[in-house]
Amino acid sequence: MLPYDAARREAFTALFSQLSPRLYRTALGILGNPHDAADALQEAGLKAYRYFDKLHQAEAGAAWLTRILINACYDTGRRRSRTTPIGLDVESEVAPELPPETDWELVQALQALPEEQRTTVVLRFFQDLTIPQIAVIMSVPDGTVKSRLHTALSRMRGLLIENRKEGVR
Amino acid sequence: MKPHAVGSACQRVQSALDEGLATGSLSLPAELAAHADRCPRCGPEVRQTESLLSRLRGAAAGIELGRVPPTVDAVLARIATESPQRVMLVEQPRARRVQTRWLLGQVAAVAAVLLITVGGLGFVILKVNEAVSGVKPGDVVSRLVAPFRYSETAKVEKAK
Repeated sequence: MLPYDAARREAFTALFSQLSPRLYRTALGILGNPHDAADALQEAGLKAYRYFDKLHQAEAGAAWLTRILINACYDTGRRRSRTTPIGLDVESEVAPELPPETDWELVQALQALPEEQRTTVVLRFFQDLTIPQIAVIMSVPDGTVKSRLHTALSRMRGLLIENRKEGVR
Repeated sequence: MKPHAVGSACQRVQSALDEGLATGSLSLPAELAAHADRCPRCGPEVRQTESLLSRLRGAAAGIELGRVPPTVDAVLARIATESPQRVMLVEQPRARRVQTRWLLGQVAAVAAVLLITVGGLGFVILKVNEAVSGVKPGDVVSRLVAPFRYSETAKVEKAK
């Protein structure tokens, strides 16, 4: 093995190991399913290693890896939508994998959002990123991030209110 | 429901709520918070928004990370034994690139066959013509090209 390969591998291992919990949370938020989240994280890790040479600034590593992960999540989500029969109860399938205190109502409201709005909410709350940081990762202006976040949170709030009304009835 | 009066406390609460939803963080000044506590219109909206933001923050903290180490280990084990190129070659065969290359090869082969056929046929026709009429292939080509040459010459003369 060449010394360059060893150094490259070491640098990637350090970066990926450090960021993987945050990345996993993000994948879980976007996909709402631990199996798919683990698959997306693995796919993103392998892809990132392949293109690790293209990362010129170490400080941009988190944003770069997050962008790769988001694309892997979208791919995984599309594959799942092609293979999962309509009407399958996803919640019952994933319930044993998540802790019992999981806020299922919230998870469902999040999954009801369109892909980009869901990703924006997940990056804001699951990765605790600022609006400009999200804008960089999603390659959109700050205003677009704010607008997506506003629409997404309004919809989620509406859905949760509806659920409560139905629960009362 | 009545619309909020312009410049009223209700309207300022509404603006703060909009900003809170756009940024994911809500902080009402004391006077607006006091208004929201009393107001039957603003109160529920503020409480629902605060509850949503708090639940979202709590959800991230509550996610179990038990499955992360095996996934990370799988990725690291994979890259420890294989080169970067090999890692993805096995993951995702580049079907589209192979297809494009195959298609280009096919087009090049057909073009080469057509070129050889047309050239060969032209040569045979000229040879047959030479045998029948005694006109050399070079003369036939000159005769075919003559009109173009004539028109070029005529243009030059006209220009003069």
